[in-house]
Amino acid sequence: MHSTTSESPAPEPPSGTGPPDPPSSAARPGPAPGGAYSPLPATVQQALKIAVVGGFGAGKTTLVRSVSEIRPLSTEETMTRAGDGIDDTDGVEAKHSTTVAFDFGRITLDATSVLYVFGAPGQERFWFLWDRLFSGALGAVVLVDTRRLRDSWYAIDRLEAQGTPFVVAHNDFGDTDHTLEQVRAALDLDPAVPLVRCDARVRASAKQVLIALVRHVRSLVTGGSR
Amino acid sequence: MDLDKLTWLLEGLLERTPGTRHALVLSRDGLKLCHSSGLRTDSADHLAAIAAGVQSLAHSASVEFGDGAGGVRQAMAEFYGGLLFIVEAGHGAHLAVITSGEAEPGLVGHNMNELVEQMGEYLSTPVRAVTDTA
Repeated sequence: MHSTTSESPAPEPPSGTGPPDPPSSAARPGPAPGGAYSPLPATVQQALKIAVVGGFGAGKTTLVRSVSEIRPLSTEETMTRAGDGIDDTDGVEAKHSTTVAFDFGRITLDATSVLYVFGAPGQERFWFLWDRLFSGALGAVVLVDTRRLRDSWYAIDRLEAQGTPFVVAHNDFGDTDHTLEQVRAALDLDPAVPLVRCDARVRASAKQVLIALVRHVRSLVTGGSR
Repeated sequence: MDLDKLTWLLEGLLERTPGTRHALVLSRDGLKLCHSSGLRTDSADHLAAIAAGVQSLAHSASVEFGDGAGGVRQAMAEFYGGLLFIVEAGHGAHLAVITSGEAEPGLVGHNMNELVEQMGEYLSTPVRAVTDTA
């Protein structure tokens, strides 16, 4: 879906003498000085699309925001009275905004690979958008909140049905003491599907989830050898 | 909010604007508030979700590429067999109109904006109180 080579090229090194530095050393992604953008290295060869799905309020938008190295696209709208009785906030009473289209962020894994992360909207009325988000996706992350486990069943069922590789990430809101085994049992999750715990607000933690997914996909391709 | 009055105003918009088929008022979070009678409930729910998504993406475009004045004046999609117009309509609400392929886009936009001014005070959708659980 994305052609990476046409994306913003790495800036020229300022020095005017000698051959230009290899971009891999000159333009490593990292926290950009202005905080908004970091250049995509010209060495990137692989653009991988990842979808983040899960129930309403599981933390999908937060995860995309945490991992993105560019200013994330987010389509959050304030929840209105029209949603009383429809958008059930039991367990997530502090939630006051919701994604109405999708979130988008980007993270460079190494000199050659970049992940484009698309966060899906959680509510049933936006599920029709999921098809487009899944199209061309390498794999998906299902984010679960143990206070609202059943909200993630639809995502898991759908991914299993369409054969998209995925990992499940238990977003730890700090108020549960379920073991991962308990979560796995409650979700009736296939033993082959990786299950990890994360704090979607923390960049390093959210990044580990994406790494788990990439490893999982790689292991599927190479036939089980990690 | 007087939904009967709003519905009546929407029907009036369709009557005086050639080529229009459906009109719908939605909350910014994608739920229908009221719509013209020719729109089935399922289609109305779907259109409300679509329009909220489009407006939200259009808003992101205005933030990225606009002059910073903020806000989306109008979003439009042209497809085979028709057009979709969406304008902001009061605080927290949008007005969406579906037309056939024969509609005159300038007139549709003009009449929609006129209607929004007319119905301004009816159209706001109060923000949900954080502690207010359904």
